[in-house]
Amino acid sequence: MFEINILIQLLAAFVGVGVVGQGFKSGMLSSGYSRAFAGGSVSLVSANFLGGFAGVESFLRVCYSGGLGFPGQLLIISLATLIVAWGYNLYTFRRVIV
Amino acid sequence: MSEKGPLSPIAINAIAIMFVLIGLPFAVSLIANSNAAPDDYIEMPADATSSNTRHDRYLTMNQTGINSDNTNDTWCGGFGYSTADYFHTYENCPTVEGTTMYNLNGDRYQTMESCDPTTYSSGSGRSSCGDGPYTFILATGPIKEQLIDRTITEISIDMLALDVFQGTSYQCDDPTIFNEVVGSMNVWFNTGQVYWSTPNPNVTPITPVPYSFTSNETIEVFNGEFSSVNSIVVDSVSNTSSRSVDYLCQYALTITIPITAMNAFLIDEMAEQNDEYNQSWFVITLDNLAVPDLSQGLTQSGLYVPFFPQNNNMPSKYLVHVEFGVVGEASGSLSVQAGTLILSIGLFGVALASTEAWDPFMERVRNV
Repeated sequence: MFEINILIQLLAAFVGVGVVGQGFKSGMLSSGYSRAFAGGSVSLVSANFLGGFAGVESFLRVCYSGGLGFPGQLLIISLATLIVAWGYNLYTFRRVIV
Repeated sequence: MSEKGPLSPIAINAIAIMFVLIGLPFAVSLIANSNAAPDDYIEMPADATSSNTRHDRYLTMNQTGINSDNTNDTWCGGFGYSTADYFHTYENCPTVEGTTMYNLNGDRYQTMESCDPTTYSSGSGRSSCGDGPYTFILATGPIKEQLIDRTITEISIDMLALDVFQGTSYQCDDPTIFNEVVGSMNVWFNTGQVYWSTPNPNVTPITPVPYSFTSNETIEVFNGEFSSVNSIVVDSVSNTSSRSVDYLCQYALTITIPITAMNAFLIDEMAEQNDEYNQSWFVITLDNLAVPDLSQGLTQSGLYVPFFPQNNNMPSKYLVHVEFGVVGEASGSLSVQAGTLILSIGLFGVALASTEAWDPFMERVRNV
């Protein structure tokens, strides 16, 4: 399902941004190139891990389609809330977690 | 003793990211791989009163891996061997039409053709059923109505030699006959199209049999080892009165296939999108059959399972009983739902902890 893929890609992207942000704050990843490289790598690996290897995508797909009933729908809502919160933080405060 | 301060922002960030990257997959894995105990069983139809139409013939033994040399493949007994190879197109050994259904220990068994170790008309001579893999195709069509709004959590297949009703049975504690049999097992669930053969008077039986399966979608639902003691106690068989009480067992094989919660949901989803189990089937492949303990006198070559013929000179028949373990609700078991609910709350907590609303929220909680 396309919607679930989008959720996972966004989540992975925010994880990448979060990792890079923390690295930068800790004195690492000082150059723009290294930040871009690290962020891209972490996002890519995270998306593949969550989407394929860990089976999270299949699980979310079942939740989204209603196969798990109310708890499954709630999980999708919670995940969407997390992504919206991280997106808002990034836009407003230039970091994922405030 | 130093007083513990609040977590630093870096620590909170690290925890949130670890929760998503490690906690979420781990929790999903725990939930998805849980296996609920069935609260009901659906028995494949095998009534003595059944008309045993083609749709009742739910299990076929398939000769996979047929290749040009015809030496190591498994063939099926009971189909037009006296004529052309053409008829081997239909050689998915099915449950036999029109035969008596047997009742053993309260379970209903259908008859199936064994693999055929003998020479067929234009093929080369063979002396065994091959070395596997032995593939069984289990159609879900006969119980499609019972599967709607239920989730499959287990499949149990019992096979036993037909001889249990007709002839010799054996001492149950004889380790040279009965012992543990192990092997590898793969199980797939498929949806697509099942094709039935055109009735052909030259082929026995002449009624259609499922001969081809075109899969549109497949998922692997099990990949691992199985273990079964190849005996079944037959003392409750109705016509055993003439037997000695010392001889109570017959060759058998019991295979139990656990279906994880995740696979059960995926199976539901696939079936719903494809005619509600009417055109769906499981493919079960057994391979590398072996006796792990050869110290008790049973030889590897003497390994006996019901779908091998009673003797190597001619194919025979054996009996099959199949049950689906199900949970009543399509939405899955309570434990899976509870796990998902806890995960939802955890994710929502991480979302809240990622915002400025976290501190006021915690303050309010402390003041309650």
